[in-house]
Amino acid sequence: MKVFCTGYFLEVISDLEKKNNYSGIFKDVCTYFSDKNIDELHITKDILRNSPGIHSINKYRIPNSTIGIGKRGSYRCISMCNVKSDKIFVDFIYPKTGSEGSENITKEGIKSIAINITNSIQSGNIYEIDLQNEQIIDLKGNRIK
Amino acid sequence: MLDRMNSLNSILTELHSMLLGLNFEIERDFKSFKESKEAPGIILEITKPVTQILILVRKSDLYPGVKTMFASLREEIRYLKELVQDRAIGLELENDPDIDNIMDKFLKTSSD
Repeated sequence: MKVFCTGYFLEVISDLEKKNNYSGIFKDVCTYFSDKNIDELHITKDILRNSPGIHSINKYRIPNSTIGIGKRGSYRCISMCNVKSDKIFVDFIYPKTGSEGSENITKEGIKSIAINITNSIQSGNIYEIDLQNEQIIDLKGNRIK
Repeated sequence: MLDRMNSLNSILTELHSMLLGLNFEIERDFKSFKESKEAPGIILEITKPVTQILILVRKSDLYPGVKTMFASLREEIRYLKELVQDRAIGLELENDPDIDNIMDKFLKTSSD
């Protein structure tokens, strides 16, 4: 399974990493995805929209290791799965608690994330997350994080 | 005052246990929760008085002595409300023609 992210995701995690309570956000994302496969992530109960076995929009609850809270107050990460090509695309992540804690995302918010992911793939503004080495690599193979 | 604080803490602990149990049951059979027409209304009926209790406790002089349980209960209430909201968003997306077009486009572009 390959995990990709948009340019917007990079901006969001760079901003959050500067805050003490969220400094481990990228590591937490890598840890969350590293022990899962696409079937598991596609059929998770956190489905917002799906075509079984084909694609889905999901909201994953990723524990925040920095402040050690459970999934109730964890990060929410909105992603899209393409099951057949074994790819996950993440675009938006937000903390549920703490200084940057946000309310629940709306339907319109989900739609704009889905549009942004699709447009980012089309325009090549997409990056691969190397889960094992906790790095982000652009399409030319350059490490950017 | 200590007695009142302990009593309030016991009430909040019981409410917290009830909501934990409820969340556990929802997560155990999330499909049924998504398909149930009655469940969201029942859950919102449960969350309303608990939210009122939280507002009262927050304003009370007993709050400093119960704030740990207060925070746990608030997290549980927020989580329940989030599950109900996500269910509603999921249903709205199921019936949204825009999202079908977006998903088709996503499938094509991400399959290359």
